[in-house]
Amino acid sequence: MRRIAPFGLRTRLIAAFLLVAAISAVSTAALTYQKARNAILAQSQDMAVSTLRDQLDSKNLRIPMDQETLQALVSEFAKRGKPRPWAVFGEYADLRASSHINPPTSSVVTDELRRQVVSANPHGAFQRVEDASGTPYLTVAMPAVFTHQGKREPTGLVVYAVMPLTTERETVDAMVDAAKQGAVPGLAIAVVPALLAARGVLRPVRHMRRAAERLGRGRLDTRIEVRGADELAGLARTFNETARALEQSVSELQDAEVRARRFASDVSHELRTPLAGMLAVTEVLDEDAERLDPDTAKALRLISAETGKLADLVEDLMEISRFDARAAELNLDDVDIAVAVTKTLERRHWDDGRVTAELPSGVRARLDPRRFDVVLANLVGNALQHGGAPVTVTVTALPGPDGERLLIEVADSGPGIAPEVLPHIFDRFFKADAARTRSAGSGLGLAITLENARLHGGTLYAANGPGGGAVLTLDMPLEADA
Amino acid sequence: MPRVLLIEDDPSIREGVGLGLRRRGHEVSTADTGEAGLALMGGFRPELVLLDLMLPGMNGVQVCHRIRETSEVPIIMLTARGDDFDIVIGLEAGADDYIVKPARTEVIEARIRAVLRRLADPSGVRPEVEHHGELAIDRAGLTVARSGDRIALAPSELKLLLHLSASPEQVFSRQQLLEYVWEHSYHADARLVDACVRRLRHKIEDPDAAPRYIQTVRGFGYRFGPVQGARR
Amino acid sequence: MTRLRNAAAAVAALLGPPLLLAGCGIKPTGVVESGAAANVVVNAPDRAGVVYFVTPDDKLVPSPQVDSTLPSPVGTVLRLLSGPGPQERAAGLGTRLPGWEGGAPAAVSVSFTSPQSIEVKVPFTVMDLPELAMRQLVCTVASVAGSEIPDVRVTVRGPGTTLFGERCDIGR
Repeated sequence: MRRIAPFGLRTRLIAAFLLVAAISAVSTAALTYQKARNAILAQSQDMAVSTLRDQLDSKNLRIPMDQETLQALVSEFAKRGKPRPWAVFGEYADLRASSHINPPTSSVVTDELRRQVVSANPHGAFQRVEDASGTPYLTVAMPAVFTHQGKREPTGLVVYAVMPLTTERETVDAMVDAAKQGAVPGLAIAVVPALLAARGVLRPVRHMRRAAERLGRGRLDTRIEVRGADELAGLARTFNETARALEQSVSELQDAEVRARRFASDVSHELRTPLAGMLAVTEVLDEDAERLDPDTAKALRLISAETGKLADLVEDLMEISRFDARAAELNLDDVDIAVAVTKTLERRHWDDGRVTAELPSGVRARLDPRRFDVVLANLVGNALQHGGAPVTVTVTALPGPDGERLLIEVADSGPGIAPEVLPHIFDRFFKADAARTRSAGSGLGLAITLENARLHGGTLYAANGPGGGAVLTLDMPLEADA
Repeated sequence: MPRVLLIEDDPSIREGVGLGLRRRGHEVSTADTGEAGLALMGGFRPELVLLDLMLPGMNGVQVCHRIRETSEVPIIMLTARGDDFDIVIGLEAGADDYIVKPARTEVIEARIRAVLRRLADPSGVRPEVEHHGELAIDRAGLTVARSGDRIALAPSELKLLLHLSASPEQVFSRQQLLEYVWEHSYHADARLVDACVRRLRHKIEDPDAAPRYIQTVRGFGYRFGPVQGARR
Repeated sequence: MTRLRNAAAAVAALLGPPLLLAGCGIKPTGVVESGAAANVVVNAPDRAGVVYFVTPDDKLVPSPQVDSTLPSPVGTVLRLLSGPGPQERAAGLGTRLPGWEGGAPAAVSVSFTSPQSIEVKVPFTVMDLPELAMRQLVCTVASVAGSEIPDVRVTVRGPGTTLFGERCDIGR
């Protein structure tokens, strides 16, 4: 399953970098904060507990206590609150005393705390609570014990101190604020190294992309500078090896193709000279055949006819070889297009009603007349041979984006071209009908036609017309450039 | 039947073409090198030379130049298609036409006949000698003189000049000229016309001025004249 | 799926620490014991017994003998049985033991039956005594044993019933 990443590599790198920075910054801040907060609270709590214990410790008490003693005791303790002023409450049996006028008992001392310190073996204790408005309080309970006959016994007196933790809360809140205010600019600053890091990572990637694009455009000699020994350098090395292998096989293929074409060219060249001699004497054979016995005559006529075909084939091969070697030249001239078409049809004796032409008058074109004749003759000949009469040649000149264009449509009345054959009809030696091993032409006619059209800066289209017949269209500039 | 000198190094072509032409009644002498061909010029006195361009030793173009130094005999080059550069050089050297090998004997003979054919005079009422500027054209005697000096013209040059000057100031396209003068098809090689025009201008025009007699009409072709200051 | 999980992890990593931060202010806690209780000085002779009374929320509170004279063990028990004095009552202390209005002191006796046990004889039925009353009685009797006998056992003998081996759970 392939997912398309919603963000680019750069964005993801920066995001990852910032995420890591944020996590480490925030985690550090959080841990530091927790430690600091706990230390602050522990200090306050311990000091409050020990202060209360110190004040009560070694105090001379008369028990059972009375209200006045209890009140005096809490009033005295209230003055010496540490680390900051507190409210002190004394509880002894039914007696309740408060350092404040109201209430005699604290609203924030919980029953839980009370139960803890009136056990048979009591300890000092504290509890952090919140009142209804959310203000945090520290409540400290300090039971008084005395030693009697070597045993420590509770006296029944418990002193409670209640201290608001607002200062601590402010300190803690200030720490949170500091962490928040530090983290945002910290993250903003982290963007800079993130960008630099992303740049550093992405630069080789960008180089590689450019190199791949160059390679894709056919610049097979493209190589990447390999720097360092990291994964990207390994990738660059692999890229270079791939490019080198590609260049080598492409060059081998090209060499092979060049050799094959040169071979075809050389073969045709070599065939031409003996053919020239043979072709010059075919007439002699044809004339004298009448005077020979029928078998010899038949054989001679066969040789004569096949020599002609062979000469045509070799000529076509030579022509194709010249296109392949880009040695074909345009010999341009200015012609009246209607005359040029008419002359082609006349020369092939196609002006006998099999071919009708719709020609504009007075349109002049700049083209190679010999090649144009070859193109048109091939198109019409092909239409007559594979399609059927009547064949219609329609010539139009149209304005185009790059100057005027010449459109020549050759439509036949045959069954049309099978769809699977259409893409191949301009291939060399392509035979639409596999059963027919040899056609009248060399099999190179349409391939040469296409090359001639291209030499003029034009092209050929093959399609089937609405009436069912094949329509081959030559589309070329009205004025070709040499 | 005309006497034809065939200069061709390849024996099969030499034999084949020679055989074909003799069968059609031509008197054919053959030479396998340019030197041998030039040696035959004097004794054989050919009416037409078929000259292969690719010859060992002295090549076809050099042979063509040597022949033109002394003779206006019609010369037809035998070439292969694709040897475009050689064709142009050969035409510049004074050849009248060319045939692409391989060719049937009937094609070769048609070319020979076309080159040898005298131009049919389109009008019998003209004076025998026409004067156009400093040119004097004798249609009956088939001679051209410039300021009284006779100019040696190859057959194709003469036919082109006669055809153009027969209809002064009328524009002929290259294709029309190929059909009328060379009896080629409409779609033949227009370089024949251009090369011939260059050779003709070299002989009849003032080399330092714009052409007076054979003028180029851009996009169409050539015309004869109008000749300024013509004396009748 | 892996991608989804990765994304979830990233979100958690991104949101976790701020949540941690936001989640802390000063939170309430449970009761935390912190150190010993305060040790006060009570003006009472160490050898004297201590009488235990009951607070309104059912806790035993000591009421030491403040007189300079050392009362006998029986005297201490008698003080318990005679109930809280005015000072104790003012503080809200009471007793769960049955009233004993001027009963014969002879009906009360305290005697050591062994080095580790002490016997008290009271003039009321001990069978139905509430637990708190029994603790008052046992701890008061145990206190007269003094510090020489740790972990003393108290036998409570009432009319018709004797309870053996009671121990006081106060102090250590």
